[in-house]
Amino acid sequence: MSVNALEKALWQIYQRPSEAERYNADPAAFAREYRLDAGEQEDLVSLDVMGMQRRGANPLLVMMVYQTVKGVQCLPQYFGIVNQ
Amino acid sequence: MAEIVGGFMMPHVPSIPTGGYGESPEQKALSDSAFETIARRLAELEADTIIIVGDDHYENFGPHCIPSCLIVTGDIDLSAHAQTLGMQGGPIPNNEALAKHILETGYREGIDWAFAKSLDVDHSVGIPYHMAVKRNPQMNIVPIYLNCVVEPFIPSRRACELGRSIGRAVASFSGNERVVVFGTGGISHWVGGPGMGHVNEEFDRRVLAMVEQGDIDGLVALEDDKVLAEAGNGALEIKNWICALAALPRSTAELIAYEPIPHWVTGCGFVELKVAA
Repeated sequence: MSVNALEKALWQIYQRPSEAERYNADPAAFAREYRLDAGEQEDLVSLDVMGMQRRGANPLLVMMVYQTVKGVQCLPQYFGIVNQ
Repeated sequence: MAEIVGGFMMPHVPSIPTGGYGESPEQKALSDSAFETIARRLAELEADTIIIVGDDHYENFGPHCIPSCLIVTGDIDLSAHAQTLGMQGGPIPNNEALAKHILETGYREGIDWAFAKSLDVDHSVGIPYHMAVKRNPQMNIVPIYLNCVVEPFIPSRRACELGRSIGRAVASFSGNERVVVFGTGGISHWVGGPGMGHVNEEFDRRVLAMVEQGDIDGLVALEDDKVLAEAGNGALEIKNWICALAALPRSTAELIAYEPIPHWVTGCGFVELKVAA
């Protein structure tokens, strides 16, 4: 129920390839393993980058997770999202 | 006795080694040339140890542990992520004796350094090493990390105090090392959040002018909230610059190059600090 748990989940996706695989396979199941409230879970499952940042998640970490999940080629898309 | 013979400020943005992020050929050439200048000056200064002040990008240090300041006293290699940026991994030589002396000097002076007996350094140390130091293969490094990335950030005043302590440690080291200090990162950039891709050239030139004037007090007085608002979260890396600047004895500064490169999401500033005679 805090940004700490959200960042914990994000960092696992960013730094542990096996966790990124698990997230990609079933984001909802992955999110349920962390002490997140419903809104936080929803943002993590949908990879709502601005939603997570509004909750206080570190922007750099959010960006790296987006890149990990979507691929580095999707960075221009990320630019577009955060600058809307 | 060991002595600090120079210092340099430089960016460490991940696009530096390879380019290809939409920058113009002239911008890539300017960056490459600035690093070549630094590499050449290291040789001219007959430096043998480079203290590189960087900041971990939520890579080695995660929510489980975020040191405010950390020194690497042992084995150094390049992180897996840094190796995706066009740099080859492998052992990086550390001046372990000097690193340990900086750590112990800090302890005596009231600085509670965290330390790493081994670390795979991220791009904030890896890029300056790869682009400038590695071209002089006989040189060792000492990596230092300040937390400029995860709130609450290291206070700029503390970054300055760390730099002063590093300076005293080098001056009291029994070896004959000729030491250069790098402050890396910055200048303005918004990383991961709204504003990403914007560069505040006016802020960058203001910071560069303060460095050229040796105005450490002015840099320390820049409040984090105002830096965040004016120049983005990445601009807090000027704390690394403050630390490096404070480590040097009285010095003058000379701008090597400055270029705002929006495709690299960064204002890239390169400065040489010359120890005053």
